[in-house]
Amino acid sequence: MKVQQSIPMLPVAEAVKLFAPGPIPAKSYYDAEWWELERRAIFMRTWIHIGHVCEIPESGSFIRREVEFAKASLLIMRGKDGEVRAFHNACTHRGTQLTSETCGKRATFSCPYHMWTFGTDGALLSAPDFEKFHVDKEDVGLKAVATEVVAGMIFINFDPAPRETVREFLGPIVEEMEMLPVARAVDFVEWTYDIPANWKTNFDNFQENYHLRFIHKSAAGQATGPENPFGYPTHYGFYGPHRSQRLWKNPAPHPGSAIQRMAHAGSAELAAEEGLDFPKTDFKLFPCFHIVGIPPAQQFTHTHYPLGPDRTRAVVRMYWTKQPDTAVRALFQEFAAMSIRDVLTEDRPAVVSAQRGLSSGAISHLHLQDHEVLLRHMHTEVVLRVEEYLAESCQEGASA
Amino acid sequence: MRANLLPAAFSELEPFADQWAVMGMDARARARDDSTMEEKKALYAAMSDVAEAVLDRVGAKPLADLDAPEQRLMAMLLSYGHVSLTLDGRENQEIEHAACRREMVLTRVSRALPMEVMLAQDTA
Repeated sequence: MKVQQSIPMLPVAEAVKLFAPGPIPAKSYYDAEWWELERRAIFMRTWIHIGHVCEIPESGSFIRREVEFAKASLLIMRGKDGEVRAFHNACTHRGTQLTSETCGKRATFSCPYHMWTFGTDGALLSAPDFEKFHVDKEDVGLKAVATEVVAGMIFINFDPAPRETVREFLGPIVEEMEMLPVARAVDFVEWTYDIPANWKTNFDNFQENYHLRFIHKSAAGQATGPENPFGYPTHYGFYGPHRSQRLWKNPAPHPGSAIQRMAHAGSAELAAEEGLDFPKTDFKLFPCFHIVGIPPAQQFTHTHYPLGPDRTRAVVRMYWTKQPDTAVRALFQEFAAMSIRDVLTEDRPAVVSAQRGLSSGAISHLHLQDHEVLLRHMHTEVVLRVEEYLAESCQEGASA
Repeated sequence: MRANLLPAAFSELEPFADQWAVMGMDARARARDDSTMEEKKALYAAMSDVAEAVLDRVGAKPLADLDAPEQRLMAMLLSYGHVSLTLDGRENQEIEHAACRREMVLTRVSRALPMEVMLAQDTA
């Protein structure tokens, strides 16, 4: 079954009409107070992509994730019942972190300090002299963080009572995501980078093609042509806080280098053998998650975790539905990952430079053209959520 | 320089094997980062004419069945892919690009070749 595109896609002229024109304030890209508001209003109560089920394939498998914006260390594990759960990596006795391992497999987690021992469902199993604490074991299980899985990807939410499920949050996009190779991935290549830039400065870079032919001279040849020299997308779409774009299909792309042609033969082989059939996908999911599906076999995700007003940690993953077992497939997978890494590498100097200019306070506003409409949408959604948060805080203050 | 690292049919590539027939995607990325432009060009020139023959040889059986010389040959083909990313359009930007690439830290890589799997197990 081939899934139709889940977000209605609009020609650019119609897409831009959805938003008020004019420049947007620059301050939100560097101001520490605004960043703190975003942290509380958005990141501490929105579903955040944190991992993939292939990292915890069996009961007892776990991964540890440090989430700087929440000052949290999380243990994400698969329980005996097969369920994926996330807990704070903090013993409920006096807070000691249970493990410093990044991943592994365990039936229990014992605190090294006083040997409180927890199961993979977070329950306290035993504690020396527990009767002297005068509390119930049920009340001192590991502190859980809301966790859900969609399309193989693990999402967490630091809100103790999330206002919506991930499926409600993503709406019709879920169906399309579940058709993507990532939904049944068994492995991935990952690279991470810290960048001295606000999370929006970095994410914005991947929401417009305006810079394509200046920053990506090597790759632009495939994505541009005489009738579309900037390689602008043809359509943009929006669903709630999420957005998407339809990239222009070059009718006469450059055939590519010899190694590109050899590697891409592996792409077709993998797609045919695995029965991959998915639409070309380019979702920017709120707040900081970018997922790209490039038929016939390629897929990568790019998540931007804020570290501070002008610091971001990005994690890029290229997912595969099968371990390479032939030469052409191994060549394709490695070449595809390194090609994407090279393109993203080219963006770094421009993003860092933009942040320096923004952080200087020299400009008060950013001027966006029609083909930067996805940036405008994200800015609108960020401001909306911060304003909602401030209104809720005022109401709570008034009723207290 | 060690000898007879590669299948005899590809003996002309032996001078490059020490530097480029390295195990692991991360090791191949480092080999690209750490090599001079002259070294990259030398590999590129040597491999360009025989790359399809190399792929025919190592693609004739599953990766798991490749012997050690064939696995090194496969690793060289993969290194050729890394180097081509510089020489097929980024040659003039290599100094800045290499500096920025080092910021993109590979934190998980595929282990496709049996020798890579063994290496990963040894270092685990």
